[in-house]
Amino acid sequence: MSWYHKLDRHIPTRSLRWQLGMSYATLALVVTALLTGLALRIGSNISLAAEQRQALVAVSGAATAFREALANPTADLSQVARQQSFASNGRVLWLNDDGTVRLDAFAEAALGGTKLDLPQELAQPTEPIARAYAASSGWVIYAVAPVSTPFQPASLVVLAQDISHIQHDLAQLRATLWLLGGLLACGFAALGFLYARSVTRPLGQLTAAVQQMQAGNLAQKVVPEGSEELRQLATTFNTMATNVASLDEERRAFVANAAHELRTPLAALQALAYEMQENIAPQTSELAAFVRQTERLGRTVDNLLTLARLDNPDIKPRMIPIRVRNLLAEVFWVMRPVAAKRSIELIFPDELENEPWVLGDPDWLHLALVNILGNSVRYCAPHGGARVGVICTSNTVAIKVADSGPGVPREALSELGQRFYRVSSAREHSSGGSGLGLAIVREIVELHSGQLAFASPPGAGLIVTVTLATVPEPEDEL
Amino acid sequence: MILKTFSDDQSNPSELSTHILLVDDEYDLLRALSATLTRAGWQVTTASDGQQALHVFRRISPNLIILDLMLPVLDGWEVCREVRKTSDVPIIMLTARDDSVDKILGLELGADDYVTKPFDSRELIARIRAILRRANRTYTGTTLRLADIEINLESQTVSRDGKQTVLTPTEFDLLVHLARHPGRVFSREDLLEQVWGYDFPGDLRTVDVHVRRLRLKVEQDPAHPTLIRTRFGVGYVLVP
Repeated sequence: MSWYHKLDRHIPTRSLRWQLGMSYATLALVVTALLTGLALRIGSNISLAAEQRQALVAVSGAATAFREALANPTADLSQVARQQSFASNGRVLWLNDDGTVRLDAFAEAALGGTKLDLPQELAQPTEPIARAYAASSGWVIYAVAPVSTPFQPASLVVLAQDISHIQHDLAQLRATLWLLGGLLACGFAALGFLYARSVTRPLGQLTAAVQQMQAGNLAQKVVPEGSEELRQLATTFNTMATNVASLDEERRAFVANAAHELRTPLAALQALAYEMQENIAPQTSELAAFVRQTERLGRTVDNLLTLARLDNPDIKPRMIPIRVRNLLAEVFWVMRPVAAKRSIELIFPDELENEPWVLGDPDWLHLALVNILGNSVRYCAPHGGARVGVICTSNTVAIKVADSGPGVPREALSELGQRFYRVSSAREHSSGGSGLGLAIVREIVELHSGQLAFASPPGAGLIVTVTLATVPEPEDEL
Repeated sequence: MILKTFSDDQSNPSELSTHILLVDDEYDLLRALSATLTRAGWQVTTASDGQQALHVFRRISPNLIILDLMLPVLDGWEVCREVRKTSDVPIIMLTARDDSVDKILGLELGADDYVTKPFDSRELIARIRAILRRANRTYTGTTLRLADIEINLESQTVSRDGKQTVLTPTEFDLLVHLARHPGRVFSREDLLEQVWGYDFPGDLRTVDVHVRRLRLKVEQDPAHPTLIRTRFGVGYVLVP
């Protein structure tokens, strides 16, 4: 699994909330970037222009001072340079026409005598010029002004000013702007999330309601809220849910009523069949078959009714603590005579040190286990057997019923427990099953939030496992 | 009104005195079942609606009533209620509606057992035998005493604080059985075998419903029983 999928599992990156929030944040960040860029450009232009103006004034002043000093033979030119440096907060150099430095205000790092390679536009100034440059050490301004006197060859004054403080100020401004932009992006993201939530909350409710319907709770209703479209969707959903629920109720009621209506004539049929069997001599195999089929029809109708009751969403199992051993004892009490008729042995689980208790409806769980054992008895050959095992973990108990029957093909295992499913119709018909027994088991186990599993290892019969949550043994009786 | 009495010359003369009233509105069922019961050795009278059933009941005083629930004119519930006003004759309810079984029995109508349609005739016969056996049961001894309850075994009556409480024979048998083994826990199958006398698996809820009904009559506070207690998941026990 790629990292993306892992991420996708934890953060629903494709959710509307996430998408809307991220879009808002991205938008805020782009706007911030544009605005910051613009602000920095304008800011730096304004600052540089101001600095250049100041440098021009300073360099013009320096040029005038040098001109006056050159006219006065007693003047100390290096003193002038130092004064001008100090006044302009820069480095003043006096250059020959060819760029050779004649005087440097910074005596410590004196450039005196070296030829200064000035940029082209500054080399031959006719009037004061100031230009800003980005040097490796930071931003600088070079300002030059010609110094022309009648008696001296042409020379020029260069003023170099360090303006990296502007750079620093701009960096600070940029940081501030980005910080603001970031905060704004977060704010927008949150806003996007909130807005998206107002859209998705009704959708979430709708999704939950649909999921509930999927789980079989058909009576669902959502509150119409949100935008007009969402309200319409909710109203339509409510109408549909009501229709589906009433259809399902009608179906359930139909099955229940049909089964009830079938029972009365079936009872007469069965009583008549018994009476004929007892009274008519000689016995015919047809009559025996008639009795058998009548009984089977009765069982199918019973099972249909049971399923209709289990389908009823209003069914409320009576949850009381039950000792698993006692539950099994009652099941064995019912099933032993049935098994004995077919010479099938039922093996009761061994005593455990800590007998498990479960919370459940004793009648439903009884029916589930009777159906499982009944299934085993039906498929075991005479003199076969079924063994019941109880396996406990810290908080579950597994009731395992393994029989010596022919087992079930692997591909059919997943189909077991579906209504009217038969592994082999020919065999099932002769065995008298209705194809509903394990479906009832499944419904009951689900009603108790348990698990039902089927296994059929090669050479062995079918193993049915019912896993239920255990509860502590109740301390006091009612 | 036509009353049919099916009788059979080959019936067991010792049981001929046992008279069963069979009430159902299905003619075919009535005919088949009365033939079966007659051959089993009982005298059978049939009725096909509730009014008729009450009329016949008053005339012949049967030893047992088999009563369908869904009857024209008067339904099985009302017939049961009427009969119980004057008699504790054993009643077996026949029903095609098993989802209302709890309601039927919980209504304290006093039926002794119920059978869900369709049923196996052999099982019905076995139940009738067990119930009749119990109806003719006599107890040795005179009285049993439990806290404020006095059980008179000779007259088969129960009184609490000197006031007589009317119990059906099944309830009486259940109470005596528990009272004779105080402190012993009986599972539901134990009670069906030992009190009801079933030698076949019956519906275990029958026991629960009878215990519930018995509590209503003998407990001070039936919602919090102190005499007949439930051992969760195990069974019932009488704590004197």
